[in-house]
Parts: sequence; structure tokens; C-alpha cells
Amino acid sequence: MQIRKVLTFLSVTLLTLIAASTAFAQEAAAAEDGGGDIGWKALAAGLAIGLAAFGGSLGQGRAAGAALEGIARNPNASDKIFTPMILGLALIESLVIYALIIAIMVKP
Amino acid sequence: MPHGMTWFDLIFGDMGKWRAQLQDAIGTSYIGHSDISIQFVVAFAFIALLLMVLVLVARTKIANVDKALLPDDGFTLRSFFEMMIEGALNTMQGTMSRKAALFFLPLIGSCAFIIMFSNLMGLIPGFEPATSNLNTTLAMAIVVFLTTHIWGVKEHGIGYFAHWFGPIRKWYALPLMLLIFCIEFISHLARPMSLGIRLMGNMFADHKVVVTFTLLIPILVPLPMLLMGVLVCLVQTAVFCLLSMVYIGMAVAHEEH
Repeated sequence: MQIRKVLTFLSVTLLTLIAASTAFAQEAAAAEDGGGDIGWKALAAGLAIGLAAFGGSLGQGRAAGAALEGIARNPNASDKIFTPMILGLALIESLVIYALIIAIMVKP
Repeated sequence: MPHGMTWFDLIFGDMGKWRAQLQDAIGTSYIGHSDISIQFVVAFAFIALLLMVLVLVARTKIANVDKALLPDDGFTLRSFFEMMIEGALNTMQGTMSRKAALFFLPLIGSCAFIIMFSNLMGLIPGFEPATSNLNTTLAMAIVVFLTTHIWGVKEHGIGYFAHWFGPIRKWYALPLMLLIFCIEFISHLARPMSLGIRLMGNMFADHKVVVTFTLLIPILVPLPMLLMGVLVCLVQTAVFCLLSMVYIGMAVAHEEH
């Protein structure tokens, strides 16, 4: 029941944002005409990095949580757990970095 | 210090002549056809020279083998180099045999030192990290990529590419073989791209964050960002070298079926 509420909230937020983006387009067209889709580009950049950070932080949270649980079970193995944890975190973060690069390239 | 100016502008004066020579020689960059910024080239050359000087200084300390048997007490230049090289060698022996580890240690060690020194140089106010440019990181990633494939073919002959066709290699599995070949080809192509972009993105974003915080409140607030910057620099070095070791190790591995 809880997850349904969360999903409903998220989908309503997303739909509201998409509906509100039409207002941005009109505002942008009135403000400047050079690259008349400057509002869309800004929205794209913001959404790209926002969604990427959201997904990336969830993944990294799970990885760090699993590593911490492993250390809690067996404190002697903390050195052997540390290196794969750092490697896993860096690999997950690299996907977020790809989205950041795209957001910087899209920037109006 | 205005945007785009580093300490190299003050040390070397006007670098316009160098940029003109560079532009005559190369033109625009291959990726994106943008102007090649002279700052990164000078920074990279500076790092290379600095490393050579440091290595020569450390080398003189171990020139006499008998006197140098005991490691130094404390954190000296020589013990720093020994620590990093031993760490790299131990990690490499996890993924490949000792002979291969000793053979590839120069490549991985050079990458590690250059990336670490370039990253850490970017944290000093007024410097730009040489690895925050895609050209630098992609160059190192392409060298590692070529190394894996050339030594894979040397080790296994042309049968190195047999693994790209999947587990079943009979005539009746031809569609599956083609599909798996496409997937493996693209994944192999994505490796140097991901190595280069990961390092470049991390350094670029980290440098931008530190610069923004410093411009906002230069007194004490950049300190946590600088600490995180140090951590990110070291971790990114380790990740680049670890992934390179894994790729090379997988290419030259002799599996027992």
C-alpha cells in the first residue's frame, strides 16, 4: 500500500511538470527568438541530471548498505570489503557522470 | 584570477606563440572541432616533467642496492613511490599472473602516477587539472584499449576473437553467434569511452564545484568540498587503474575449461 502511494505521488508530480512545461515554452518564445526552444533545453538539462542523480543515489545507497552490513557481520573483513565497495560506487557514479556530460552539452 | 587563466600564464608569460604552433600542427581537436586549449597541454607537460624529476630523485636513493635494502623511515619520496608501486603490483597479481603483472606494471603505474598528480594539481587554487579535458583521458584510455587487444592477439593468436562469438559455435547457431558478436563488439568499444568520460566527468565536475564554492565564500566553506575532492581524485585514479588491470587481465588470461 505504501509503495502505491509513493508511485502515485511521483507520477502525479511528473505529469504536473510536463504539463507546466508548456508555459515555459510560451514564455521562452516571448522572451527571445534565438533558439526558440531554449526553455525545452533548460528543462532537458535539469531533468537529465535530476533523474540521473535520483537513480544513482538509490543504487549507491544499496551498494553502501550492503557493504556496511557485511562489515557489521564480520568486522575483520572490512579491508577486503572496502576496495570492492569503492569500485562499485565509482562504477555506479560513472553513469550519473554520463548524464551530467549530456546535460552540459544540452545546455542552452 | 579571471576565468581561464592559471598560474602557467604567469610563469610562462604569454603562451600565444605556443598555441599558434599547436594550431598549425594539429588544427582543431578531433572531437567537437573546438580550439585546443593551451592550458591543458602545458599542464600535462608540466606534470610529466615534474614526475620525471621526482622519479630521478627517488632513483638516486636506491642506486646503491646494498645500502638501500632497508626501507626509509617515515614518509619520504622513495617510500611513497614504493608504496604505490607495491600496491599496484599486488592488485595486478589478483587479476593476472605474476609474469604478466611485472610486464604491464610500467603502463599501469605510469597511468596511475600521471592521473593522480594531475588530479591533485587541480585542487590547488589557480591550477586546472590536466585530466579535466577529454583529450587527455581519452588518450590514456585508447592506449589501454590497444594494449588489451594487441596483447590478447599475441597471447592467443587469432583465436582471441573466438570468445566474441558466444558459447555455442556451431553452424546451426549462426543468428545467436552474430547477435552475441554485435553485443561484444559494442561493449568492447564502450570500454575506452567509459574510461575516458568517467575520469573527465569526475574531474570536470569536481573542479567546477570547488571553484563555485570558492567564489561564493572563500573563507572556510570550500574545505569540505576540497576534502571530498581529494577523495574523488584518489578514488578515480584507483578506478581507472583497476579497470585497466581487469581488462588486460581478461585479455591475456589462459582459462582452463
